[in-house]
Amino acid sequence: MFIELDLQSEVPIYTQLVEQLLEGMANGQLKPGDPLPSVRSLAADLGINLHTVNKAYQVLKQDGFLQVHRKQGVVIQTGEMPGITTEFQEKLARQLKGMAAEAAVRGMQEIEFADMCSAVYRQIKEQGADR
Amino acid sequence: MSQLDWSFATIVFTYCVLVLIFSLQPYINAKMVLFGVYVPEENRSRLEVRSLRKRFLITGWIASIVVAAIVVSCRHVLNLERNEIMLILIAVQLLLFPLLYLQFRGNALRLKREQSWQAPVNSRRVASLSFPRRKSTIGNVWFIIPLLITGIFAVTAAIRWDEIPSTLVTHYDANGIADGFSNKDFGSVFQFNFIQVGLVLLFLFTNFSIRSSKQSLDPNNPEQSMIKQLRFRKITSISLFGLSTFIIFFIGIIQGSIIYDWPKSTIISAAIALPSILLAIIVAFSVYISRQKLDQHSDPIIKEDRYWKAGAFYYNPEDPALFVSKRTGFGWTLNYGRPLSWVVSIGILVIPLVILIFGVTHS
Repeated sequence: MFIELDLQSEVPIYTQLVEQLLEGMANGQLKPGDPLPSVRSLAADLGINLHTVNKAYQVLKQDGFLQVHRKQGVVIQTGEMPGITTEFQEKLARQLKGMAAEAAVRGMQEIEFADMCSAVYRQIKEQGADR
Repeated sequence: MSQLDWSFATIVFTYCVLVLIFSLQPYINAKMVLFGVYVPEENRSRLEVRSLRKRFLITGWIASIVVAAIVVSCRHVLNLERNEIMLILIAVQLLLFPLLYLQFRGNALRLKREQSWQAPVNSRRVASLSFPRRKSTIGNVWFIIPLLITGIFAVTAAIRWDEIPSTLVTHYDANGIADGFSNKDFGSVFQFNFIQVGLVLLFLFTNFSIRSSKQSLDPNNPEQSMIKQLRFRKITSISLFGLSTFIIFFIGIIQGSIIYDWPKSTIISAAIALPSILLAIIVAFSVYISRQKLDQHSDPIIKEDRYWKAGAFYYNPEDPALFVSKRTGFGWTLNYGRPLSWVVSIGILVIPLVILIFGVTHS
């Protein structure tokens, strides 16, 4: 799997990295136990700061998507994935709120907004099947 | 041909090969870089750009011929031997072409200003999460073979110590008469094996640096450029292994011919065979990579003039990579923005010096 960053995007680099790693897990390109490159090596390959990669790994580790082994290094969670916590539900609601508000102001119907959500969800799940 | 003519022919041949290699650099290297300056696609086939390369070639040739003529005509005045002439000519080449490069780099920079050349902004970065680094080169275990060769020569010398003559012939003049001698002792007998070990370590380090060098994929075509890069790494690693094994073996032959009084024909045939084998490996390697188009010209950092000091030395403290692609598009270099690079470079210069000094003081 390839990581593709846009250094001039308004989305912070570590967020781009977190999102792409999650996408990889969602569509099956990254399976439980798959090793990830070390912080130093991934930072060098992408030409970005070590701390940026470290931050992305830390965020994913704290949420329980990644494990850090002393021997194997960073791997995708082999045990139970974090699941749908209330904390996550709150975060999801918070992030959807802004988009929903803008959609409503722009005159988008509820059904159109929901369709868009499912389309994006399906697209992420299906990306893995194409490869 | 007499012996004298032979050694003269060797000097002329070596000199011509050197001049060719240096003067053809602008043609061999990536077309997008002109004397260390990035040239935008639309400017690459312009007359000014092409004539700058041609002028470098012609100036290089004329200067080389003039220098060679001066050195050769002064040889009686300065009482120079043939091998001294050779060394002076090589030294002059190593000085002449960098100076010429800087001169032409100035011209290229002027063209850049006049025509306001700019590299396209590329803010995209791509890297594979599963780049098979370990498999990208041959394993380190392969280097046991040159080490074994070293071991065989060293152990044989130790076992046959008593048969080694107490005075060793280390040099012959152009007429084949011995004129350099040294006493038999630990240093004079085993210095060759230290050089061999040092070289094996250097080749091992190179193999390691190929493996750990930055991915540098083309953001527009990551999959293809990754396949190309892996093949380039593998073939480079294999060629290096071949080179190292033959060089180590050749040093063993030199040692053997000095300490066991082997017939001179052995060393002469080895001296002809080895350069031929090395040249064959290098030519085969170059033909293969150009046929398969296994260059790294799509690496985005090649275009960034500001990170290349004097157009050739990568200096970027913000890049955490230690080993990066060379600007020529073939091979790898160090990121001098990282202190470790300086340690490595000084180490590579110092270790052979230490071995050399050790050899000299112990013989």
